[in-house]
Amino acid sequence: MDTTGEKNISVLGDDPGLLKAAMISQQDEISQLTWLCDSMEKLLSLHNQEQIQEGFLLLVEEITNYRHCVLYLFGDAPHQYSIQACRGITAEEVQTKYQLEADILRWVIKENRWTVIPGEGNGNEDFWVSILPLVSAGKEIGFLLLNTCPDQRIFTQGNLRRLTYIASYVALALENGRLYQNIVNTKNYLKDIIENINEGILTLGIDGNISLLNRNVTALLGLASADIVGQSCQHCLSPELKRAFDIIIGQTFKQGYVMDYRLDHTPQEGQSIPLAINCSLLRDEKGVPNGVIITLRDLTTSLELQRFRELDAMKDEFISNVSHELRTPLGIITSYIEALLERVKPEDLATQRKFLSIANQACDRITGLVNNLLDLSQIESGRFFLDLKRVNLKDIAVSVVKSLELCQGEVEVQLALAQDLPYILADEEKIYQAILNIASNALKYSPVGRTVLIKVFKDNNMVKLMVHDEGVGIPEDELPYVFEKFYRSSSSAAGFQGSGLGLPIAKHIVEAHQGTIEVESTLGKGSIFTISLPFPDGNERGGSYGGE
Amino acid sequence: MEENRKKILVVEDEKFARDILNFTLSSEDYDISLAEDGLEALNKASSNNYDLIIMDVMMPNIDGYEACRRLKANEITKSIPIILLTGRAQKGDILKGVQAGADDYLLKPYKLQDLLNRVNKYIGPGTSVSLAQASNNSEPAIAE
Amino acid sequence: MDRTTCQEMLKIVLEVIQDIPTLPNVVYHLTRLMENPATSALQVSEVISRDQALTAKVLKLVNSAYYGFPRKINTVSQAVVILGYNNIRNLVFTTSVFDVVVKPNGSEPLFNKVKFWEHSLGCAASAKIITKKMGFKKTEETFIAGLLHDLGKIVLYHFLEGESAEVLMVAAERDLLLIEAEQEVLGINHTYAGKLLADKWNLPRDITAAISFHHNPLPAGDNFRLCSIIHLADILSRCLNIGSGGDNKIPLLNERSWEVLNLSWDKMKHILSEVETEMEKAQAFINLLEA
Repeated sequence: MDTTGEKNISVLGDDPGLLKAAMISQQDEISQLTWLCDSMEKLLSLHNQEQIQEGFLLLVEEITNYRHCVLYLFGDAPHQYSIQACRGITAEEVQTKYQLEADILRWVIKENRWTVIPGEGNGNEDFWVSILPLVSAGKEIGFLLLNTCPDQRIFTQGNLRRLTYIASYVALALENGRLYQNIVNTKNYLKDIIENINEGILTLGIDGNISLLNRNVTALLGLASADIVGQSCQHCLSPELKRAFDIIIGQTFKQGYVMDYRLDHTPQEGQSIPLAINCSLLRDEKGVPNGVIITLRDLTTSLELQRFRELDAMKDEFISNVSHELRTPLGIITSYIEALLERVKPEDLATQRKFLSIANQACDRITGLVNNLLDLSQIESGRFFLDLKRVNLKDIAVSVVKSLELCQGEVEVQLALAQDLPYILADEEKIYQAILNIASNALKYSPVGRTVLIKVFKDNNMVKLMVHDEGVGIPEDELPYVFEKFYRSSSSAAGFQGSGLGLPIAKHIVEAHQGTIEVESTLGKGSIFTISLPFPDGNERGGSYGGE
Repeated sequence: MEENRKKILVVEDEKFARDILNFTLSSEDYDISLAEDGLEALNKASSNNYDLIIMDVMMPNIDGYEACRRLKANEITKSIPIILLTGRAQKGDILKGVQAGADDYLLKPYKLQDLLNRVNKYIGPGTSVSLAQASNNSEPAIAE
Repeated sequence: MDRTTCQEMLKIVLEVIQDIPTLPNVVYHLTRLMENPATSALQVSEVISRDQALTAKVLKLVNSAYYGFPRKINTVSQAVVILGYNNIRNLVFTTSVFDVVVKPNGSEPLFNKVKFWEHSLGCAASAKIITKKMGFKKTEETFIAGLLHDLGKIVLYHFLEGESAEVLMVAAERDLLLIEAEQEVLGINHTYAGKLLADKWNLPRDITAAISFHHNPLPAGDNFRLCSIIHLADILSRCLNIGSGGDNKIPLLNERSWEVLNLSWDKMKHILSEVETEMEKAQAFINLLEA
């Protein structure tokens, strides 16, 4: 082998020449290492993976003068690695030229030292393959595959030391770079989310200064510029907003959060933006409050506001309808009783009886309506008590018809009652109500001169009550909604007013009795409502809880 | 001079309400005609000389407001005083009544005596027949 | 022990050491060579190759399970580039020391105190693991240092068997640390004796430091860390009852050393659990050395 420049080592003891050579090399070494330190410092300060790799490969080239090299980095799966960079060779060529044996690779990386891989021959190859592992704090980052001349002068102690030093720092730098990139990615992602979210997001520190806001806030609140991070919200907000925020923040600190605080923001005369504001406390890792996060929702096109408004309108309409429904029978009671007191002659007993009867029926009507209202609230809140007794559906039908006299107008009500009708177990008052509701509907939607027919009969193991009217009918596409709260037929002529509760309450009552209610209808011809109730051959029971 | 009973047209769709009005007003010696809805009211009013129309607003087909508007627009009937019976007491509804041209209104439920007082105001004994009425009626006005 | 006796003892020790054979030439050459950072693998292998017996030994060792390289290593120069300079150097050293001390001429071993080598082995294995756990790379250096740290005891108890018999008795009777008994009886302790031998043999400075300062690492200067590791490893070995240090006591752990080593109790637990496995591997190594 080539030993040019080296002294022949056969002399025993200390050879001054040898010592001198060693000294010189040591000095060189120190100076090299100093340069290296600086290069490493620079490399470590980089975050960009490409730059780090570039710097690394340059240094390695300086030291080893490789023919070509390939940088592999480990992926997330254990022992899985891929090519990150090649110099002097293409990635495809690498696959064919180098077969990396897993056990050797594992050994080298475990030893964490620049290692030459033995080839087939010994010293007769025209190249050496070596591996430089990159390990940082026990974590395997990757490795460098080098192809160098088989020059002994490359593989010296000094170079070994230097390369190992470089490798450990590069591994650290790469890992740092990766972590840094992760952080940047996460930060960008979060920033994206905050900017693009529909709501306006605003965070305030304990000192009242704005620490974060997204563009929706600037738009919604009409803030002058987006550069208000760090400023006090007292200065940036209008007095109206300031007041609202003070209230919101105060409540948040007391109870931890505020939900759906409604505020109509008027950035300009005539312009009003309905806002729903949520606020919650921000806490640090010790749980101490260090600010608040406020979200602003623009309700202008929001379905929620629509829903708010719809419900409001529905409520108003409902109240209006209900009071109208009450006024009519109330008016009758008032007038007839006044007439009785002031106008009917004391001896005119017939008229007196008649007037009292009419007033009585009106009272029933009011009772019915009030019961409807109470039941509605019970149904809504889940409290619904059935007082079950043995009753005959026929009797109830008869009393319903009697009550209807008051409002039937020119519509005739016919009753067809089967002869033998089994008793059913039912809450009499509630069933009366259910039937009354259905029948008064029938009347309401029947034109003058028509007939409403109420049939009561037995069908297999059910007792049925059918209300048949010749009114305007219900369109087919509305049939499924007939029993919904507040539903009112679209085909009704103007002026037909009702609470919209009668049918749903009737349905609920019937179903609470384990019965069913159905409707058939033909537009222009009329409708048939059928209640079916089972008749158990059970014993009489007292009250029981029914309903949902 | 012959005694002329004043003619009142009562327009109300609820039977019992209609009946009690009829009963009450008849007992005060007025000549009562009845109508069940707005259309009927228009027909009757244009072919008869009523001195007063009492009309419920909540009615099928044409409601009270519309009927009132039409009556007031019609040459023949425009001078007949109209009292509207309304079940709603919201500001908007009273305004509606005024805009429809009604002369007066009563809120349901009302006292029959109140209604009579109101009727008296327009056509009670001792009131002079309005000039418009006078122009349609060749009978001399009965001065107070 | 008065001064004169002390001085006399020292004289005797120095004479004994004089008589102990030197290490083979190749070891010295290697040391000199490796002082030069520009030394190549070829140069190293050339030096070793002049001693055929050594070459054979080296090749056997590099192919042993101890190093665990998954392929056969055929030449010394290959061994250098695969296992690294330090491993080869330490290997050569260890072989040479063993040859002198354990089996000088291929005949019966003179100093075959099984328990002694067990303890040294335990110390070496522990030192290697401690170094790894601390995150340092010089595991082989500390292994060798641990293996040879009690070299001085060979001087005192083998070559000066007669004089030192009393030491063992005193240590046992009065329940002293061996080093304390040595000081009393002989006026000279095994760390100093070991240093003298290490100097004669021109052992690398760090190994010499480990021999001198493994009981009290403070004066070790630049080698404080290494000596602290050996210090701790020595104690661990005794705690785990591996072999015998010659006495029945466990020395106190130097506080400063513990600070510098900066090992948590968690890490200590891991270290303790790994010592046994490491010892098995090391035993394979030693067997080859003795073969």
